[in-house]
Amino acid sequence: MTRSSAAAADSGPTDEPALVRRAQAGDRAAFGAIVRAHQAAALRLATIICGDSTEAYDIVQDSFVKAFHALPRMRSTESLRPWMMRIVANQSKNARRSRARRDARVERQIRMRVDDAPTTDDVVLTTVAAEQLVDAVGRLSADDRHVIACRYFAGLNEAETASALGVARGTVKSRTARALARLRTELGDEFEQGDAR
Amino acid sequence: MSTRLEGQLVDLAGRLDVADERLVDDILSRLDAPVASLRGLRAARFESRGRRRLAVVGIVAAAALAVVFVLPSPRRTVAHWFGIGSVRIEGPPITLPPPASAPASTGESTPAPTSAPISAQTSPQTSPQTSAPSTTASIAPPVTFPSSLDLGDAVASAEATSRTGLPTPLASTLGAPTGIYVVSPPESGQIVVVYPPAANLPVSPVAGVGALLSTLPGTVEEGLFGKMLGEGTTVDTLTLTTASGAVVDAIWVAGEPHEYFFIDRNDQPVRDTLRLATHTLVWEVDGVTYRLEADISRAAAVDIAQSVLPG
Repeated sequence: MTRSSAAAADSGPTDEPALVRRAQAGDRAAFGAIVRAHQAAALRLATIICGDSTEAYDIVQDSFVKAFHALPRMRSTESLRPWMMRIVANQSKNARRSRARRDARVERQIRMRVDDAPTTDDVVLTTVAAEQLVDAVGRLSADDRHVIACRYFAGLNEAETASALGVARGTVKSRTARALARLRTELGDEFEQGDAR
Repeated sequence: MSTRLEGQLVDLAGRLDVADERLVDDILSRLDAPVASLRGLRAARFESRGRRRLAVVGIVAAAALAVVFVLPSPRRTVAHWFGIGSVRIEGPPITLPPPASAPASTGESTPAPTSAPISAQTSPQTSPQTSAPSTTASIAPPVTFPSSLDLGDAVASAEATSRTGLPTPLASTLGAPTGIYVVSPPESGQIVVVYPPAANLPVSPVAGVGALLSTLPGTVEEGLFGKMLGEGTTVDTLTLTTASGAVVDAIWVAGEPHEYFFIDRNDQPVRDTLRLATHTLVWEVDGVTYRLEADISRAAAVDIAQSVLPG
């Protein structure tokens, strides 16, 4: 998968409403299709919020199990993707908060691939720049990091991010602007102009 | 309009190593585990974790967010997340501490319940959207409870909150409480709200008491919970849904549970007593564990819990 298409590739199957109805009735195969469609976004979201790729796998696994059992209660007016991402975000926040209480000084890793061929996209990051950027995202405040995770790592729009995080859309907009400003301040103009190829 | 930095963030998202073909299988295998068998769920989770760790071998790069190595704390070896909220599963055997050093009367003096009739209940006609009542809710006339309850003197809800830093749990479906109390353990206190019997709330094994609704600072581990509850009790997990659609995990204990352990904010297990020794629903919101003890059905307990949940 190319980087620029990362968020778009898991936007959900076109027959998702039918899959949801089948999954609500207990159809495992239909739920499996739903998982396949949203797992990448869920894993990226959990990774950025909890700060650990391996733990994110467990969080997402738990989130989907939880979602399966809660699916019959999902309101018909609700979109699956932000509903699902809300569960993932909450699970991730709980895990991070609990971990912070128990073992604040434990190695956390975010794994990245380095073998992706550059695309025609002119914002492709070097490996070093990617590591700088993920470090900077990790240093954002929790609120700012959650918004960045939803918007750019799970591919949610403003309204979906607001729904997933349970905040107003205006809050998403202001937090996004604040987070981007902090990233620019921390990384410097040279980052945007120089380190990215 | 997207900025260059936003493009770089999307690019970074694509670089995260998240693809894993095993995830779907791991999830589906857990769906088939019998819900009543927590051991089965735990085994499924551990098995998938093991397979996952093997799969990590192919990783090509790592960017550490914080690279400080320390020995894992003892608690880390005790339990792993069961998957929902604060509920964690039983891990390797551990040595539990002696009863908490809190006042002795808080734990051991609760009488064994007399025959605790399980009454069929009509669920309160309350939707999850019902907002919790104000913490200034009126209090019913004072009632003297059996000393075995060891509740001490009633306090105002604001005082209970200021003394403990906990929300005072009030259920809109249960009407005015009989009293609000701050008890231990832990030393910082937990809040217990007493509700009188009502049409939808039969008398509990303790005369004059319909339900106890409590908040305490900490979490509950299902494994420790299950070890201490005694014979004849069953433990099940379920989920609650807030008015905004958020899902909250819960544990339902049916039977006559007496004691259990919760994990306080110092990460230490604390022995506590279930004063009514009857059906109990436990859930957690934002690091606060809520506990409802009442001689009611699971469905009725869920309705009450949902009236306490935030919007």
